[in-house]
Amino acid sequence: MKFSSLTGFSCFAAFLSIGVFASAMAESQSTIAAQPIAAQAISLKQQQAQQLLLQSQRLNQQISQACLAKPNQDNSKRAQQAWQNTMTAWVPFQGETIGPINQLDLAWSMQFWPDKKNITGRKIKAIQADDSAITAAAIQQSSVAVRGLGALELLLFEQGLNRENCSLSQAIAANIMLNSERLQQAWQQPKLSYNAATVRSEVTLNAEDIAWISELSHQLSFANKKFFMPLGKGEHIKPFQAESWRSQTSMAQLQTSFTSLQQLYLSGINALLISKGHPKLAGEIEQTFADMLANWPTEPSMVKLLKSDQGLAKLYRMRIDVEKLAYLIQEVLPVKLKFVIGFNATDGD
Amino acid sequence: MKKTLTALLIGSALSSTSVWAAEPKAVVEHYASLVHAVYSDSATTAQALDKALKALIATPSEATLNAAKEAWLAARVPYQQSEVFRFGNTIVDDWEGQLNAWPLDEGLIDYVDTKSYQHELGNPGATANIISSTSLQVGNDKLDTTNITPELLASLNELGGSEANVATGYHAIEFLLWGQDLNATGAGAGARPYTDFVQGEGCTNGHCDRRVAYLQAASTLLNNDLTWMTAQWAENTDNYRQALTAKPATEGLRIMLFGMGSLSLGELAGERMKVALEANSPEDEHDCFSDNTHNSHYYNQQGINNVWFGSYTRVDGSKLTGPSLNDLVASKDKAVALKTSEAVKSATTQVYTLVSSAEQGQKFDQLIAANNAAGHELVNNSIRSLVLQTGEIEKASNVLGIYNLNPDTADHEF
Repeated sequence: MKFSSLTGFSCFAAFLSIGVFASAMAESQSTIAAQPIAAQAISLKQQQAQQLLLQSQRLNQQISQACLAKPNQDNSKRAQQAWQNTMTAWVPFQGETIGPINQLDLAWSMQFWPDKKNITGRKIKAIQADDSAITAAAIQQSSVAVRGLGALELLLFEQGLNRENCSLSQAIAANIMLNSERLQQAWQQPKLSYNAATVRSEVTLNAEDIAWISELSHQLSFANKKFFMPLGKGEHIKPFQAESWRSQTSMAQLQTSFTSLQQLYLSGINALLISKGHPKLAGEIEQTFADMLANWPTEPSMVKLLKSDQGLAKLYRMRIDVEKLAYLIQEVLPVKLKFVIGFNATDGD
Repeated sequence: MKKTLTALLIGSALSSTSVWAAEPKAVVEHYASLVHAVYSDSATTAQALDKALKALIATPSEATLNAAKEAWLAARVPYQQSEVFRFGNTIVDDWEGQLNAWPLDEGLIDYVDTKSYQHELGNPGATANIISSTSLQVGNDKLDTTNITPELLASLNELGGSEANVATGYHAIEFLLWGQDLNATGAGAGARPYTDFVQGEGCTNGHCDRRVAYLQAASTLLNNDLTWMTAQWAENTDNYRQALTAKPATEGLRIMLFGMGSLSLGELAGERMKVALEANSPEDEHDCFSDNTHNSHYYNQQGINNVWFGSYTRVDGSKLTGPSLNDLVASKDKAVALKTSEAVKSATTQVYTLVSSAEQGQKFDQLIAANNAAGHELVNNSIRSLVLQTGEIEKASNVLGIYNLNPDTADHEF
């Protein structure tokens, strides 16, 4: 099964709203059981945005304090931990197409991934070779590769926080915090346009429902990309394609991805499927999420798993659940509910 | 192919009113004919390229090198229009990497300026330089590269599992003709001297015998591949086309729509424009050696246009028209067909602005320079038009009742 198709993955999701939404457009015309998906999903997003803001503020604070005091092993460790917490808080927004991430074009500024050719490394090197003052404002005008979490990961884990990279680290952390604030504020009163242009769905779904079910699929595409890219082809693994290889936390981030997808699914999509007469499918999706997360490896580093036979065996075992979930959500569900999920940026990879 | 009288009288495939009998089967049949025509033209222009390369090899000079470059540029015109067939037609997707894989780590092939060479992280073949060596050590494997043959080059693709190891195809030939573009986001393409192909005294950068052997082997392979694919789409024979058109028409329509949407959004707007633009990364430019990216993008979009309108202008100027997706959708919902047609035309016009810009002296790698706000706007406008186009394609799919656009998995069951 190939996932680069309708399902796929990507980091471009931010700019795709128009395309993605186009298919998700149907007039509101039905009553839906239980609480509407949109209300539950928005509430979930608001909580996640609040968490991201909190963690990014702590990250900013940790780095500032460490730099002020002079970086040492202890405060560098704390800064690394704060980075991980911020990354974990960011993951639920990856691959989004609805709302502020897209409207504010924030996705790549928060995280530029994948980065096969190490643009991050190259651009950071260029900035460090340049003597001009580094500010958050200057960072915002630079290549997306140096604006966000991936660039900061390089500084904190590959180089280690030090006097020389302190001002750059601070500027990037400040930029991440600023963007998190914008995101959090925007989610308080989200202006979500569920353009009601076309009525086609034979099953009476409203535009909001279609948009949020599609969102689950698009975000799943992104998570799948994080899983499949490092696996490579056959015996040829690609450890440098793992999301957080520099901090060796890719498996932990991926677990967060699937956990947040599970949350979104259980925020009304599950109930909707049941109410539309598809309890079996609803149950299968729920069970697949549960099985996958119950069997999740405790090792946080994907690279370590990739490089051992036992680790690879675990990943291959997981692949069954990953593929099954994609099949159920991206292939079966739209056909049952008779609507087009539409393309996302991972199609064509 | 069923033609109506109106169609014969008007014959405008760009009209958004339905002028052809809108039978799903006929639409898929005509699509197959269109694919065949595009690959036939790709094969013909690749033959012309081969001829020009042979002339360059026989008599290296500024003139023969320029002629070879011109032939390469001409060969890209039909081939880029074929990329819309990639997604969905497994036979094409499995095959095309050998012809058009990108981006590539060119240090696999020949010498590079290491200061400005950026390759895929962890790629063991990124600096292999096949032209300079008669054996390659990749991991634990030692490979004999004494004789540079089409078969050898084909076997070196994706060496060590890295898709950036592209030993064959258009971009390998492009690199051999132009060389690295060392101008970053400034004006100018690669500037390989013709003397890199001179045999004996006068040879520059070494290994000129192996360089021409490489060039010829890559060209031979390209021609063989295109001949094979053209045959797969020929009428009335036991081939892929026959298998495709024997399936329910919905399968063919799904493939057509999936190809358009995937190319429009993820590939063209995303991988080929947005990444290069947002990261200010000329390394991620599509035709980065020749600075022909504007044309590559434009003819990709033209390919989408072709499939929607069932129309293709051949290399010889003749026009192929017939029953189209546009006709079929219009027979069910005129408004949606009209809006999709407008979006497709609009994207075509918009992406063409990249060509106009290049003709006026500002090429794609200059447009994406960090401080070029106007350039960014131009690329962003193209991206937006492609996003809008994709949205309309999705609506058209909805009209046809094709909810699962993924042909690969349409019939998978757990």
